Amino acid sequence: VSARCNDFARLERRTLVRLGKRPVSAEIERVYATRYASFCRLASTVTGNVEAAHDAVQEGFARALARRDEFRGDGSLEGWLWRIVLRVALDGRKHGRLRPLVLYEDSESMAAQWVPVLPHPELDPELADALRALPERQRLVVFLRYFADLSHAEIAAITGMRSGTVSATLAHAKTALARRLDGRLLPGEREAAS
Amino acid sequence: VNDDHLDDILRERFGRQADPLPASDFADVRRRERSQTARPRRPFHLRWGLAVAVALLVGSGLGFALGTSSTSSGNAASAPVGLGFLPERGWAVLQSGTSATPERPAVSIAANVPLHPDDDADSLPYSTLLSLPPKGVVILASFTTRGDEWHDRSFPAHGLPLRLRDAAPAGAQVRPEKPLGQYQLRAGVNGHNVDVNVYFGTPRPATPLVRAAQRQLDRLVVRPARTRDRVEERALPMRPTATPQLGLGMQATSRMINRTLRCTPGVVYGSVRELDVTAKPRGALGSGGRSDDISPGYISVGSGLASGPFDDLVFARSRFEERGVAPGNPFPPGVYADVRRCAPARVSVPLSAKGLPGPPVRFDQDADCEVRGRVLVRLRAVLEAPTAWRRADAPYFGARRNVVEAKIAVRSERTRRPIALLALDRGGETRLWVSSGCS
Repeated sequence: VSARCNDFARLERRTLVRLGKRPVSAEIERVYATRYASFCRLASTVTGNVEAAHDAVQEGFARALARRDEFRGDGSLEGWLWRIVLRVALDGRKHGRLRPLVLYEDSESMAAQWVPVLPHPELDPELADALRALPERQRLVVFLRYFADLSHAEIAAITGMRSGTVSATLAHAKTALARRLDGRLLPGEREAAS
Repeated sequence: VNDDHLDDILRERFGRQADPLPASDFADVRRRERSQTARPRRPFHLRWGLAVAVALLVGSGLGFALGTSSTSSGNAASAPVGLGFLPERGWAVLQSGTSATPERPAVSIAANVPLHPDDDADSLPYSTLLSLPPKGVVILASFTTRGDEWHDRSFPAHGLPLRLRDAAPAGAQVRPEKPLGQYQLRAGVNGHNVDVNVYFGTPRPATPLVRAAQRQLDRLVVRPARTRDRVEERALPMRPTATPQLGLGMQATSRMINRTLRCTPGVVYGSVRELDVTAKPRGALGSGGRSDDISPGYISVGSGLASGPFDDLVFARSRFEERGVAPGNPFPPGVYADVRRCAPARVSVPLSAKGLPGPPVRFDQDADCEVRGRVLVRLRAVLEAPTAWRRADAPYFGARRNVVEAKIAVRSERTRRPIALLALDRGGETRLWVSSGCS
């Protein structure tokens, strides 16, 4: 019964996206317009600079648009777009060129290739040090949550983790960061306080 | 620090890292998308054609699988010649598809196990025998026409069905490391000499296995042979054609012996087999070093572990000389092959020394080569006069005539790598090339 329910749920999502009032291309455009900044920041943690990230996001959305018929509807459209943009950004960084896109590539295998770094560590060396001390998985989740401003569900879709695992990982990361960042103080506040 | 406050702190500090983003325009995305989709797609009719082709392929495969599963496991050859086995239930049958002659046997193989793909219908199914399980049985029957009184003595006249109880244990073990039960039965049936070799997967086959073999032997078919004389009576002599043929076509062809054989050398250990390659130019002393055994010019490829009286698989002797060949020697000048251990092969073996280290050895030389599996031997000889390839002293067939020149090339059947090349010329001079693996 559970499997049947899942099938119906999947079919419903798919129907909503593909056969509903808004075609898939319009949905893609909407996501681009509303979440461009998040996509671009996410990509910049991979590419290392905003211009390359912008290019990766545009290329990723163009690919998604060209292959929108292949969207299976068994997950959210946004999660699908995240994976495509991430794949394009990773390929652009690694090879300097784009390889044939595997739309349903394992998310964990993509995330494993990705160690995000702060674009400007010199602005906040304390945060940079604290992030470097985190395990890779925690660091990735922290970046996705606070730098790309993604929800737990979106992080789960990108990384292949369960939503609960994302929450737990994020909680551990925050505890470690709080200890290293000396509690509640923002940079400069400590000096002012002293 | 409560969780919300920590969230705010982190969001603030990460926010300072964010660069101003470039202007985003979805029109750029659409332009990129159009450039990607501009790639030519397969035309509609081609896609349908591809789908139909795939469907046909899948359908034929399914049909083949169904047909295979519903067909009896016994299979007969495509060229029935009235000699061979009809398959008993659960047995596979393979026939050489050739007619029996005094010179060349027709062969039929029956087995209650799948025959190995490396095995042919016209020789010992060696690969199948090497992997024969304890409950496996292979029956090999070869047929030659009767007519040679001396030879026919070994094949007492008998009617069908032949009986396994009359079979005698056979000599040389095909699989020494894990012996087979080997039996031989010879009988003269319907004008044919029938040589039946039965191989059991175990030296002491159980009664049900022997019964199963007998049931398959009961299905042996031997069509009555038409005598050679009658054929010749109907065919010969022919009148000459109205237009005389020019040149030496027929004569040249009959002077030339050109055969490629697949030969089975004797086992040394495991899968390693021994091959002897010998070249004795005219004047060299024989193997015993006796002064009255002087070579007339001789090249051979042999294997010393044969069960027969002679080791050679294929050999060529140069022109006859009184002092070189003792009276009564069964092998006057000519070219010969052991038909028990060699069978015709339809493969190309170049008569070339390419791949073999040179220069060739021109003196008396004997090299031992270790090989794995069978070997391909090509024999090409030019004789002084036309002659037929016919039975010589058993187990040899050959062409008896002075040899003008002869070459023998040997290659591994498995790897096709050259092993040796031997040459014999009109004057009895020899040349020998051997691979570096020979000593």
